[in-house]
Amino acid sequence: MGANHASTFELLSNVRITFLSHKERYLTPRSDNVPLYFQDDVKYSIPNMTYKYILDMFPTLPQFNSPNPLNVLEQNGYNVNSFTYPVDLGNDPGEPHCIVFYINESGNTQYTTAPASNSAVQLIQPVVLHQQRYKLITNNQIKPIIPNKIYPEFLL
Amino acid sequence: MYIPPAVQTSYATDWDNVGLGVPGAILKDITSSNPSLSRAVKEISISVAAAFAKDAVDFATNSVSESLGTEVIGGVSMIARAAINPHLEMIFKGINFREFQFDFKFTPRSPQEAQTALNIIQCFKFYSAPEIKTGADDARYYIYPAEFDIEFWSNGRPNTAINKISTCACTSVNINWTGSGGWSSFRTGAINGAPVEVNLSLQFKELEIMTKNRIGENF
Repeated sequence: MGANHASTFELLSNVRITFLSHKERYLTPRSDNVPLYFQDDVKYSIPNMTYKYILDMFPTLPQFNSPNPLNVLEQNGYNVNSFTYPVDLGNDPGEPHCIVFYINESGNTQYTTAPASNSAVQLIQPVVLHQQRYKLITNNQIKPIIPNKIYPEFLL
Repeated sequence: MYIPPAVQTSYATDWDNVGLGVPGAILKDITSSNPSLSRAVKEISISVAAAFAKDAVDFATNSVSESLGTEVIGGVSMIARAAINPHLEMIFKGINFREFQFDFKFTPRSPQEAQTALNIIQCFKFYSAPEIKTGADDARYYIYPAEFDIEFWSNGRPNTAINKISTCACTSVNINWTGSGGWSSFRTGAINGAPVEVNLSLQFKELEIMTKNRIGENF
């Protein structure tokens, strides 16, 4: 866990814990809306595999051998009650559905496009993106230049 | 990008109820009993006919009201226990452009993903805005924003199960930098201060009216 910036561990397919520096920590279920807790007497209910994964993540912390690791997380400063619903940035290789935006520039724009170098695409594609899960913006396979150096490589 | 949780399409037609009044009803009776006249009337466009009917009703109403007065008409109606039949008919007025809204939630797991999320947001902000041509003379005019083509893809090819979307204008880009309910950000590193959760809401309006011609093509 980095001390200066966030790092994240994904717990199987239904829980994601994002560790921020110090006490800014979030435990987040994914968008499948699987609740992590239901009622007071069983405050936290997590899948067995997630439980195992937490134990695997913290092998040096004996307190995580508790039957309720989320409770231990909470005691260690994690805000397990602040749930958010993260969604992948279109880079989950197991998700075959996507929405594609093509951007058609105005014909007389000053911010014209430049031919794609494909370097960014080749860098990301085999690792993260399904081959058909991205499109270079603009409808003629070109991508925008970087006006005033504000816009780095675009990938949607 | 991923398909947002809510994907909705609305097909709405605009109808209006118009009171044809006595003149309109008479015209309707005449045309129904006279085929040649009916054909002649049908050759008139619907809009002209509707306008004519409305004008006729307005003229009759105003004339009667002016000559007799609203109070007199009301009194006669009460005594006779009869009210004027407005002869309401539904008139097709047209259709509106379809609108689409897509809500995305970004929760980057790394500085690289945070940068990607910022790029996507900046991309929509940038291309949904007009620009002003540099130069004194051209500064009076906007250059149009970009237009957007939107497609749904499944398993490596366009999804034909749901409707297609024609070229759209992006009419709204709403960004909630505090998607987690409060300000929380990456502190340092490659992207200092990048929010850990951002909600992006995009609204599009189609630039083409959808008629049977296009809906038959799965729009």
